[in-house]
Amino acid sequence: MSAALPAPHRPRTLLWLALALVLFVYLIQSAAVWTFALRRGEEGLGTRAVIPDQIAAVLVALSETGGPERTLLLRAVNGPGFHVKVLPSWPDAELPPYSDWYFIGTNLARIIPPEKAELLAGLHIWNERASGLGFGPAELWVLARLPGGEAAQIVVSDSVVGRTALLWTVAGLGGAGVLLLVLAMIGLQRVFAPLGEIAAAAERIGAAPETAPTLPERGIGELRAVASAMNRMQQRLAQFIRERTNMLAGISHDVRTLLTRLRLRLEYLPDPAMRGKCVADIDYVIRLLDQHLDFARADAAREPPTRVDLAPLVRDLCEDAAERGEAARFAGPESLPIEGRPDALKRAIGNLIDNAIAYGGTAEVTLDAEAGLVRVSVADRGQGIPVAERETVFEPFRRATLERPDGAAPRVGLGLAIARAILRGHGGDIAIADRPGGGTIVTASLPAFGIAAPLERPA
Amino acid sequence: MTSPPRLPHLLVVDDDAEVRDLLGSYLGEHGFTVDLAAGLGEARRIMAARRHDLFILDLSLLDGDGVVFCRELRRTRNEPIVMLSGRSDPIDRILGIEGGADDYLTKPFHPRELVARLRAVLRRVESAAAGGTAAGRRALRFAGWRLDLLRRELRRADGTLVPLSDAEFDVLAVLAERAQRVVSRDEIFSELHGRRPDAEDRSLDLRISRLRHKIEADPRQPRLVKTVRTGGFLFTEPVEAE
Repeated sequence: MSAALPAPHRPRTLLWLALALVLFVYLIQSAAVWTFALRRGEEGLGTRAVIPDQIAAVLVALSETGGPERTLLLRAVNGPGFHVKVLPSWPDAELPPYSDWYFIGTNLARIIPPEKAELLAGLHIWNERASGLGFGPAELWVLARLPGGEAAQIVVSDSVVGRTALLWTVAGLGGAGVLLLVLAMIGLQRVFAPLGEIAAAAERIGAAPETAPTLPERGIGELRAVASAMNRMQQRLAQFIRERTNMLAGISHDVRTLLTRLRLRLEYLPDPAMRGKCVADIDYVIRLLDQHLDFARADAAREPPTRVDLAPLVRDLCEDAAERGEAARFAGPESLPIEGRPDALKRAIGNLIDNAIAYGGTAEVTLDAEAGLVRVSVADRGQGIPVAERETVFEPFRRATLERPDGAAPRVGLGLAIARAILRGHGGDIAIADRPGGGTIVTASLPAFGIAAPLERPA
Repeated sequence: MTSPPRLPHLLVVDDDAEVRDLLGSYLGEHGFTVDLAAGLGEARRIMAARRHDLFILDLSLLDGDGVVFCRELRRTRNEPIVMLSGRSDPIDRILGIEGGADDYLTKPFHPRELVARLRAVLRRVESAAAGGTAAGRRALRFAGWRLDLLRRELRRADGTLVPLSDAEFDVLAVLAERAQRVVSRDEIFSELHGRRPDAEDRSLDLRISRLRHKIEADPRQPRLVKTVRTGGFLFTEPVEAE
């Protein structure tokens, strides 16, 4: 029977794969951006070899000039990204803490001639507008004391355009990540969806090779090959089952024809006792044959499910047995409607009752329902089924090793196998337990309205 | 309207010569005139030459499918058809009934049951021809129940199937077809078995008792199928045919 599909694994694997892919690409992109930023850093702002030289030259020139010359000098050096201003005095306001990101101070100390060392005395350097994403400060501030109490303020700024480009790079990276995630999901879905279909198809083929729909052969090459191999396997399985069923049906038809002749001839047998025994034998042969056929074609799946009252169905089986003189009793509600296949259920529960009577002498049948689950328990007072055999008794053509008390006609050993197949076909199952005080309780349980959608009948 | 009493004339189509001959002599001894055909071709020839009251058709014939032939017959003729089948698949029964068969028996059948079913089918057709309410009906409705005569099943108004044994179905059908009048035990018995009950025959009471369990609100106080003091049963509710 179909075990639950490990379905939840599929989307999760898919998500993990997609995330790993995105992370991988993100790392590569980050490495590229960092390289870019570091190169910018080398070329840009403070570490450009020319900047400390420029600052040093301006400071030295300012310390040596005044009046109109200084005005001219300021005009000459001021430009985009480089602003020089002379303050009449050292600013009173509290300055940001000293921070020399680009080692300007160190360089100035190297470049400025020793006779101008006083310029270095009060040198204060800091950076402004440094952002987390900015890969280094955007502005470099240098404040130096000039002779005569004045102060020189030099501001070197990074190009605004460069920062914007960097922001675009970051935004692009995010966008690329999202796009990649989407593409990865779509791409992986294309690989995984057919795999899921194949898994589901394998389940269907296992459950009913004759009626399972053919798997569409699509997807990437290897998946197409798997799908087509599955389809060929299904065809061979279905053919095998068809041949076996046809063979059994053929045998059944011929045997039935012969028995029909025999049955008609028996009407002319004068001894009614003898006739009765012969008729019983014929009925028995037919029952054996039907059991094999039922098992072979698993026709439970071919009977359409319908709303059926289980209570009279089970009670009938008990009363039929009682009318045959067997010790069968029924306890349960007057009515218990369920959704199921009436003939199949009749066969399954009938088999349980027959088994109980054959091996346990009695069949005490209890029907009850609880929370949408219906239970039919068949209890006997036989010698019980050893725990070790509680699974093997369900195997086809197997019988519990215990002796039948009455030495009656041999049994096929399909009753429980058929019953369990039918119950499982209804989404239920059969359990075997010891009965307190001796004997066995076989309990069939099934969901009242949980039967799977009927399989389509082959055309 | 007086015609000399004549035996019902049957045509048996079966491809097994032994079965055909045995059926022919058995049915001949039980009050039928019987023609035999080995296949569809022979059956068509015999049908063209003579009129029959009922066809007995094997489902699988050497020269064609019995169900297909049954459908073909249904389009052109009104004679009842009883199908015999060497196949036990429940689906075959449904196919046969839906193909237009009036009854369906699986081989090997009990010969007496075949005779009883043939008589029941013939009587149904007769009463329909006599202007009874049953003409062309497929099902009977009464007191919130629907008795499907073709599929031989009983359902409640909400569609819930209540399983009936063959015998219970037959008893209920006999009673419902004679609704609102007293039906004697003998009448039911001969309808079902073509004979009078033996002195020790208790099976009818058992059938009725099991039926009441299924269709009566309180089986001890039956309201639908009442026992009549003079020895018989009364189906109390009006029955609607469809």
